[in-house]
Amino acid sequence: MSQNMHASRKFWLYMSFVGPAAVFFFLVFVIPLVYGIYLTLTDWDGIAAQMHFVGSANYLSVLTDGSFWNSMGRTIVYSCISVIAINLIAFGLAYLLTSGIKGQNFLRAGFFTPNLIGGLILGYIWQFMFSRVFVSIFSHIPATIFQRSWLSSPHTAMAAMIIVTTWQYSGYMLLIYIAGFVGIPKDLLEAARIDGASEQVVTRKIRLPLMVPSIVISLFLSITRTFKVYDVNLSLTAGGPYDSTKLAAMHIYSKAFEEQKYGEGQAEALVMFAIMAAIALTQTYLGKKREQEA
Amino acid sequence: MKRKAMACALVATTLLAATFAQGGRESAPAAKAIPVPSTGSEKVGTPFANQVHITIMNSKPEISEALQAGADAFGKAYNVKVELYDTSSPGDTLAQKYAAGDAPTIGIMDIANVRDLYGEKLADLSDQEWTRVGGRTLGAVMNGNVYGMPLTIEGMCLIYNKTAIEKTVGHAFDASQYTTLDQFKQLFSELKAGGMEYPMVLNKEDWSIGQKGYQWIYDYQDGTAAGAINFLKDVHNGKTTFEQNAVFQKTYDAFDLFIAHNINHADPLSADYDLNASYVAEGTAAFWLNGTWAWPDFEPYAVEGMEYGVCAFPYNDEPTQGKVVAGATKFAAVDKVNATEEQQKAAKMFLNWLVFTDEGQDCLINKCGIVTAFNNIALEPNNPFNVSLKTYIDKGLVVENATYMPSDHRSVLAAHMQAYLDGKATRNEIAKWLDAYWTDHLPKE
Repeated sequence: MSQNMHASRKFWLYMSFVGPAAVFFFLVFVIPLVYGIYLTLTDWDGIAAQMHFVGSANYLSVLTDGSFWNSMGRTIVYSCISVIAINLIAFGLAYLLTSGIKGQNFLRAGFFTPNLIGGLILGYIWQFMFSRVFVSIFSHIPATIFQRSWLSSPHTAMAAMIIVTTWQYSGYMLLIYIAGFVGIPKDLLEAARIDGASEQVVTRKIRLPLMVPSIVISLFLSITRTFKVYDVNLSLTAGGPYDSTKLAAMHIYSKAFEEQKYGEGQAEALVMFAIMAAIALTQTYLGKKREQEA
Repeated sequence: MKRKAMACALVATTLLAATFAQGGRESAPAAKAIPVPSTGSEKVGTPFANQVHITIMNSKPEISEALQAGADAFGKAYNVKVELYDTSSPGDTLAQKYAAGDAPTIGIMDIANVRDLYGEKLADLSDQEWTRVGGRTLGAVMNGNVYGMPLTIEGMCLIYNKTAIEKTVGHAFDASQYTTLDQFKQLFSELKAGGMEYPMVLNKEDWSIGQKGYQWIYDYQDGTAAGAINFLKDVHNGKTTFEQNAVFQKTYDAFDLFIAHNINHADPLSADYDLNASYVAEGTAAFWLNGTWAWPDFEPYAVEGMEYGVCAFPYNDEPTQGKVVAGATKFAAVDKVNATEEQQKAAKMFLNWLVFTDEGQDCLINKCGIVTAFNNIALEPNNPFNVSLKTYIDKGLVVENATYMPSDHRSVLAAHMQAYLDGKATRNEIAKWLDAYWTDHLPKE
């Protein structure tokens, strides 16, 4: 009897902690996800009250939708370059800004600021920079680099997307790397120096292995954020010129809302989610295996 | 005099009705707030006792400010709070809003959107008073019922600066004398000789050059929507191709001339819409491929004393030569799914208010600056583009506007036209892409 009472009490105590969070988790995550998967099996156009079950037809359409795979290819290229650039810059800056240089707190805040500006605003600001400011300045300088707007040709427009994304996220990843650098025990570094290790060796053998958790989380965040980018894509290039910078999320939006093929758009979103999850989780798994305890 | 008497009678009737509706209570707030109704208000209805909140989705952002001011005036008179928001993609916004259960009470949308929504989501407006004064003729009629009020008649055309042209070429310019491509070539040579190196302005936007760029081909087939639909069905059935089509070839002959004389030739895809407006308004260039909707964007740069107008897209030896594309382009529809009976009533009242009251007509014609579809409105258009368009309408020099394009037309095809503008696609490639698109799709009827 008392054992039952005890179990019941334990259950309600457990529910009082977990229950509210579980309810919200179901409401805002599980139910939309399940409903979203269900929509991929229908021909819903996003507006009609009626929808019909079409089985795997939407997934077959995804497989044959060349423009979706083109946008996915562009997204992978854009993400790869952006992730490398973001993390290299953030790591380098974090190293500098934890080495005790003058004004490092001010600089940390300065580098983080772009992350506080929303992607849409950021895109519009940079659109003005690339299309007007740089062109205007470089029309007086005998250098051809910015004489045409970078947003009006496919390769430079993609480069502009990568530059803006790097600018936006480097500051954010910088904070994670700073936390990593600060967390490295000083006694380890001192012991290595006393043993005669050079700064290069200290970085390679001590700093880098102990920074793996920061690298894993920064890579995970930057991969997922660049993979599903929409706001900067919309405001900076709007997918142009002639769809050459239309990334997967923008293609999916077009499919679901402009072309009114919600079921197919949702199926494409699910495929994108699966690809992104596979990449991010593999990277996290491999990274975790390299983690070291201080 | 008669109007004044009618207005007085209406004031008395409205006040009495409002008082009785409130059960004779002295503190009836709505009755106190009622201003003097204007002429035509008998067709609108009586003010609400309790404030009604409605929303308007406006897909014609250039009239947003004027329409909001009109909506506020209506709201004050009829105890309705009107919240207006803009969108440049009505189809997307409507899909999102309906999915969220937050559809606009009034949606100002394109015919394609009405076609997508009318069966399940839109109120039947066939019994509305405005349908009797031209609203049915030019409205969005589906299965015999009216689902959209024609808000504006617009023309797709070339905008020109008459003063700048005359000053550059040294003789009078009469747009009606320039209807063929050969005449335009000659004029461009004269303009170049006079010092205007690049007299043409082309937009880069997907809705403009990307979407409307193809509409010239469809609209000018024989000048009727039926003719365009028949041509597109023939392409669909493999009976013809775009490459074989004379209007397609002539349209691209004109585009080639325009592209060669484009003021943005150095970097056509970095063209800026406002700068484009200023080029023609200030006389740096002579022509802008656009439409009468551009006036609100053009007006801030318009120079006092300069004359502006619109003219037809140039074609050699076509029966449609010298005609401009014109038709009702935006429709106001009322939601019946998310809106309550009262909100629907308020929405219908607002539409009648626009058509029948002095304030409403002033808002529509003078403030929003549109050409109206309603024959009860005596006010003349007040901007040079619409004045010019009206002369074409009055003379019957009009071809029918494309209203039959599937909803993915822009997202699939616009980029190709932008590539053509940038010299990265050929005419034959465009023809093949169009063939492929219309083989997959049928025009919406």
